[in-house]
Formats: sequence, C-alpha cells, structure tokens
Amino acid sequence: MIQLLVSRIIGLVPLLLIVSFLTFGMLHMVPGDVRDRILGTDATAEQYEALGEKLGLNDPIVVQYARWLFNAVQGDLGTSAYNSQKVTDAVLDTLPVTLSLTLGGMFVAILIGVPAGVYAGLHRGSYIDRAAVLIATIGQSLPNFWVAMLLVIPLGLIWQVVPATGFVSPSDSITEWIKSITVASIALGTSASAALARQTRGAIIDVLRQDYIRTARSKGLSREVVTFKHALKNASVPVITTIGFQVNGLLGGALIVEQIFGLHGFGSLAIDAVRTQNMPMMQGVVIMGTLVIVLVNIGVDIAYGFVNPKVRSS
Amino acid sequence: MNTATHAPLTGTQRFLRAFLRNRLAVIAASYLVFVVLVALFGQYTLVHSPNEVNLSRALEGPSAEYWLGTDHLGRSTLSRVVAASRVALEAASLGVGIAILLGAPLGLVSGYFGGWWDRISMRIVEAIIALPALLVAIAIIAILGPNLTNAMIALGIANSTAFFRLMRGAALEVREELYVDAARVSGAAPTRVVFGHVLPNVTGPLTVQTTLAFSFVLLAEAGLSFIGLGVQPPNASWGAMLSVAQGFVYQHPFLAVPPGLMIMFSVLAFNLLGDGLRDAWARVDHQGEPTGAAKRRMGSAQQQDTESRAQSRDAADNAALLQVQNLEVRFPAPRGGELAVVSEVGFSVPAGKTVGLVGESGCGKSVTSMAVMGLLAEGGRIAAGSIRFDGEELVGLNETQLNKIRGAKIGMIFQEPSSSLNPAFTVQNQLGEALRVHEGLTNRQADARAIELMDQVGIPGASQRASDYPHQFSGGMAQRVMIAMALACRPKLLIADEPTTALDVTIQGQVLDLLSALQEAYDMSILLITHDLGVVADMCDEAVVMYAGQVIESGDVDAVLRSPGHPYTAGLIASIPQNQKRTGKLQQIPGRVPPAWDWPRGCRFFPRCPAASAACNQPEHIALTRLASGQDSRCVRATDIDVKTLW
Repeated sequence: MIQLLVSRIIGLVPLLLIVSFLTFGMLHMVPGDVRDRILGTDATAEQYEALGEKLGLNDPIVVQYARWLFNAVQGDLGTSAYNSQKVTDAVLDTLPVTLSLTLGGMFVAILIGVPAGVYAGLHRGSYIDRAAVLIATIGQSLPNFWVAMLLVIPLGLIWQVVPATGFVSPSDSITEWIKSITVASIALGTSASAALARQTRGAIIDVLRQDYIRTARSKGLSREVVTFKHALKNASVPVITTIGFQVNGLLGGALIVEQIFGLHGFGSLAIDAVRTQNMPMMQGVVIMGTLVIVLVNIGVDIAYGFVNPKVRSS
Repeated sequence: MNTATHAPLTGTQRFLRAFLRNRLAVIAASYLVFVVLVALFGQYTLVHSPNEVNLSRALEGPSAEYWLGTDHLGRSTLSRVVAASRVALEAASLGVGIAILLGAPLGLVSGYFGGWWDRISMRIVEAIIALPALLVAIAIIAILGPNLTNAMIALGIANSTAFFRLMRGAALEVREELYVDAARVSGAAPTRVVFGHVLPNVTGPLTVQTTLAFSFVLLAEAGLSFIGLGVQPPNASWGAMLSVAQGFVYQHPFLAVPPGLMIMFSVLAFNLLGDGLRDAWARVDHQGEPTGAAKRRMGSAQQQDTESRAQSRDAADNAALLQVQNLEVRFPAPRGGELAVVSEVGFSVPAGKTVGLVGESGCGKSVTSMAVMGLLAEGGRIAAGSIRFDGEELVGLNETQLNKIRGAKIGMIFQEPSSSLNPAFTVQNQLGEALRVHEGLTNRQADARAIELMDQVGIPGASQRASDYPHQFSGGMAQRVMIAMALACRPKLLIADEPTTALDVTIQGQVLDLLSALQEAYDMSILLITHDLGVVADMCDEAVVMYAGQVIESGDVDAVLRSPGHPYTAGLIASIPQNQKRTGKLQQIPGRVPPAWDWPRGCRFFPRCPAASAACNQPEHIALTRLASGQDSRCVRATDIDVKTLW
C-alpha cells in the first residue's frame, strides 16, 4: 500500500514537469507584451528594457522556465505581473474555495449517484430502474451553473436557509463552512451523480453476471449477503475509477459555479488573469489546478487499493 | 430454417430498424433537426431583432408580443434564444470539428505506425487528460483573447484526446488482424488500408463519441460564455443570457428559464441520440434471431409437455438421493415468447454413487444442474417436472427454503476456479461463509475449519495460505479451494460442472483422484457434468447422455460405453482419441449442436446422424425405450441397426 502511494507520488514528477513546461511555453507565445500594459504606450525604450530585465523577459524561454521551475520547487510560483502579490499566496488563498467545492460536489455525487445506481442495477428492467436511467440522462444534461441559479433562488434568497453568497473557512466554523458550500456542492454534484449512477448501475449489472456470484449463491447465502458483500465490493472497483475521472469535470464546474455564489476561488483568479493578461498568475492557477486533480486522484487510487487486493499486493 | 418469409437484412437496414425502435432516440434526433432548422431559418420569422433594445419594455414576462418575455434591456428573449441556438450550434460544430480533425488523424497515425511516435503522443495525451480541461481552456483564451472561436479552439484541443484514443485503439486492433497484414503484403497503400479497413470498423464508436463531444462542448461553451469568456455582448448565447439572468434572479427569475431549458434539451438530445446509436450498433453486431419456424415450435412446446408427461419414465427409484423427472426448463426467446432449452429430462443419482451427465456444449447439461440448484440464470424457469432431493421436492421452493439446501446438503463446483472465487475476499473468508450460515460457526471457528478443509484437499501450507486472495492461487490449487468450499458443510450431493476442463492435463487427474477419495471419506453422491467420456469411464457408475436438451441415452456406465444404444453416444465414444483406429484422422461428429430454436421435431440428432432414415424425421415426439442391454435410448432405429459400428 505504502509502495503504491510512493510510486504514484514519484509518477507525479514527470507529469508536473510536462504540464508546467507546456503551459509555460504556451503562455509565453502570447501576442503583445505585458510591458505594453504595465508601462502604457508612451514608455521609453530604457524603461522598457529595464522592466524586461526585472521580469526576466530578455532571457531565452528555456532559461526563463528553468528559473521559474527552480523557484517553483521551493514553493515560489512567481510574482503577479501587476503588483507585488506572490502567485503562491494568491493561489493558496483561493485554494480552500475550489477544493471545498470540488470535494463537496464529489461528496454529493457519491451520496446520490452510488445508492441510486446500486438500486437501479439490482432491479434491472423495473420501472424504477428505467425511471432512474432517464432521470440520470436528464441530470447529465443539466448545466451545473443553471442548477445553482435555480437552487439559490429558493434556498438562499427566499427561505434563506443557507447564505446566498460568501465563503466561510472551515477553520472559522465547520457548520458555517458547510452551509456556505452546500448549494454549490449540490449543483456541482447533480450532473456528476447522474453519470456516477449510470456507471454504478452498469457495474452492478456486470458483477451480478460473474461466476463468483453464482458460487456465492450455490453456498446458500441469502440475497442480501450475495448483494452487499459479494457484489458491492467488486462493483466498487469501476465505480471508484469513474469517480477519479470526474474530478477534472468537478473542478471545471467549480470554477464556474463559484461565480454565482460570489466565492473567490480559482475561477475568479483565472478570469482576472485572462482579463489582465497576468500570465504568471495564470501559470500558477493551471499548475495548482493540475496538482489538485492529481492529488485527489491519488486519494482515489488509495481507495481503489482497499477494494482491489490485486492492486494492493502488486 | 425458414428464411423465405423475409430476405436477410443488410447491416444498415438492421441498424436503422434497431434505431427507429428506440423512441427516445428518434425524438432526440427529430428535436436536433428542429433546432438546426431554427438556427438556420429562425431569424427570418422573428418580429424583433435579437439586439433590438426597448428599455420601456424591460424585464417583462411572456406576452402576446414577447412570447418568452424580455430581458433587462427590453430585448426579446425568444429572438435571443433563436439567435443563440445558431451561435451554440456553430460553436459546438467548430469545437467538435477541431477535436475530430486534430485527434482522429493523429490517433490513426499513432496506432497504425506505433513506435516512438506512438509512445511520445501517448505521454502527451496522458498529460492533457490530467490537466484541468476548463482551466486550460481559460488559459488558451488568455493567450488568444476572449471570444467564442478561441474558446472553441481550446475546447476542441481538450476534447481531441477522446478521438485520439478511439482512433488509436481502432488502428491498433486492425493492425493486429491478419487481413490487414494480407492487404499490406499485397501492396496496398496505407491510405487504402485506413479507408478500407480501419474506418468501417470505427464508424459506430466514432459517431457515438461525436454526439458525446457535442454535449460536452455545448455545456462548456455555455459555461465559458456564462463567466464572460465566450460569446461577447451584445451577441446572444445561452450561457451569456444566463449570465444576464443571474443579475436579476430575484427580480425576474423567469429570465433564467428559456436559455437554461434550451441548453438542457439540446445536451439531452445529443446524449439520448448517442445512447440510441450505441444500442443500435450493439444490436447489429448481435447476430442470430429465431426464424418463423422456430417461433411456431415455441408454441408447440406446450403440447409436447403433456405428451411427455404421459410417456413419463417409469424408473421411479425411491431409494435415489436425487431424482429428476420430466424436467423442462424454459428461457425467454430472443424475440419474445419462450424456448424450452431442456425438456423431458429424467435421471436419478443413487446415494453414494457417481452419475455422469454427458454431452457437447449446448446440450443442456449445465442448465439441468443449475435447475437442480435453483440457480437458473435470469429469466429461466422450471416449466414442468419434478426434482426430488433426499425425499423433498425442490421445484416450487422459495429462495429461503432453497438456501437451506444449497451449500448445506448440495455443494457445487464449477468449471473456472479462478473466476468462480470472489477476487475481493480471502479464501479463508469465502471458505468459512457456508459454515457460518448453515452451521452457525463463529468467525474464529469458521477460520479454523477453513484451514482444516484446505489441508484436507491437499493445499500445502494451508494455515499460511488461508489469508491469501484467489489471484494468488494457481488454477489447480484454486479448484481445490472450490472443492473445499463445496464440501465445507459435508453435503450429501456434490454437483461438479466440468470440474477439470479448465485445468492442465496433469492437474486434471489429481483433482479427479481427490474427488474420488473425498467421495469415499464423506460418503456422498456426485453428479458429474462433463463432455469427456474418458472421465465418465473413470469416475462414474451411471451415465446420462444429453443431446439438444433431451436425455437421449442413460444407464449403467459399462452398458452405455460398451454397447451404446444411440448413434450420438457411439459418436462421442468414437471421438475419444484413444478409441480411434489409427487412420491418422481424428474422428468427429460432423456439425454442431443447433441452437434451441432450430431443433428438429422428431429425433433431434437426425441431421447429424449417419443412420438417419425417413422414420427419424417424423413430426411426432420420440420416447425413451429400454434396450436389451439394459439402458434407455431415444433412437427409433436402436434395434434395427448396429449402433456401435456406425462411426
């Protein structure tokens, strides 16, 4: 298990190198120059040169990347192109919001999607199953920010059971934190739960066809034991894989949904960076976003190891 | 087979029929056609231009003039929704187009040529997949500037990985196949191989992936426009309209309804279309449907049922442990109705004896044994007959009653030990289950007993291996675990369904020897299902030969093997390699067991029988008759031909 974890973390290194180099290279192909925006149009050539020197723009791109990487490894993702704000600080300030929403959405998706999928799979062909599949197909088609808008009207504005906007850090108050991300998490989790329910249903149906289910039944075990012991643990293997795939989509959804609730996360940071051509900031957000996805996936892999002995022992 | 009624359908026709039968998919396709028409021509029917501002009519609800109301600038929501549908479809087509044009050819090249190019591109694809797709899209917009086309380029690149992987997989597969090798050797250009072999194979999945990409890109476009990075005002887009609506969500919530529904319905339509296409293609790949003649026979099965009951076998042996009489098992036919896959099956297993159930695959041996266990696959049912075990009628028992017998009084082992053990639990856990359920042992007692059992079936180092998982056992050892599991509660009957077929030849003998030894030690009966007459000769006291869902011969194993009473049995005996005359040719029964809907009415074996005569192809049902040599046979010519010398 520890071996698995270590090998996954080591595997991260080349991935982050590729990702950071790709984004770094991409963001430096930008037409136009940040210096134009910072200095305005009537700057002198000396000012121009000096700023270029200060920002390190005069060096070849590989040197610039190496310098960025050298600092990044030490936790310094650079400085905003406009003010003295450290990119690392900005990213870490907004990380709790994005992480809360991503994990909250994942939690809701599992909470709804897995039981619904299990029930539908066990009652394949029943009316409830067919209704569940149809509802899941519809759920998959809902834009999550629309769901968020529709939910925030009754919950946040009319009944005011949860705050309509604003984020409370879990270190300040756990209950307020939960309240502040509930609606957004439900909105995010809806479409993810629909996809998860369909996958879970498929996994259950597939597992119930397996030989070992027949063996379990031939031993005279009750339907409950066959289902909840023998089928469920095996069906959870593909379901956990699906959850891993969904992290990417949930993070993307979180970027958009945070706008509705006035939460300041990676979404706001990225949108500001686009508007102001703040490339160091954009670079930092992309790297941190990748890191979030990969780390959550490692968590998923660990859960995978628990249900799949083949992974654990190899 | 009666195929004259309708000509065989081509692949395309069958695909269309399957697709058109899916009502939701047809509705979805029609809706999409409608949206395309609206996008193309809707603007000419509009009263108000989408950007026509009328501040005196701002934020109105639906009215005769403004069917869907107005927004904060008094612009017609209907007009904007129509204009936006054009934007959405154009944008989605662009995004999906880029994804396909970028991903598909690269994937094709990568899969077809392989090598270092393939390895590098796979690394890049993996990295792109790990990237936060939307964040990368935003980053690309940062470089190119916020507008719809740039957003779509970004989404196209992010989505191209799916097409890359799809085409790469297809190309790899085709490359491995012989016919392309042949095409390559014969000098076909790579382009011809691609267009002739790869593309036809991948059309189905490619279309499905395209519909999925459309729904993904539509949602993402709406999201990007919503946060102001896609379509720029004043142009209309569903996502941008929702962004406006968000500002007035408390004042005028209706503003959020039309664009939201448009997004939902369009994405839903693409999803449903994709599901429909996938199902239809799966249907085309699935060949073989019963013909009209077969359906007629399904109807007549009922009639046969009563006939056979009248001619019921009289060998009611009350001393037998297991007694099966007139068993008929039916399964749903592929196209409605039911098929009797096993009918008039009768045999008995005396206490302490071994009975072999013999026949080729598809004869109904396994179905018969599963019927005894009450474990018929989904949809199957016992339509007639009786299964008496240890004085108790099993037909008609409910699950709870059957669960008291399964695993306790009847144990079962299966063909594939590796897939018959649950990969997620230790063997000790699985061995102890029946003991905990049937004998009320505690976990600790069950664990101890599990080790004893493993020791008994000859697993070396039982106490250390007990906590291993099934994948850590070899095939032979796993089958020993299965045997230990089936015998855990000392059952009176062991049903062994092809217990050695999946094992190495050297291991087969060991497992059979183990079974014989355990039979003696446990004083149990064995119902041995096998296609191997050699195993029957070694292990069994009696043999029951099945063909096409019927028992065609049964009796003492010596009588059946020495002087077979049915040409089919004689054919099986002649096929044993040791029995062959050294002519250098391996004797085989020509043809194979036909599917259940294709069984002849009289003798089911006559199309393959060397002694077939007009009397065999009679419409009446043929009963078992007792022969002079002591066994029962279902051959009408059993007495007037020398069965033994037929092959």
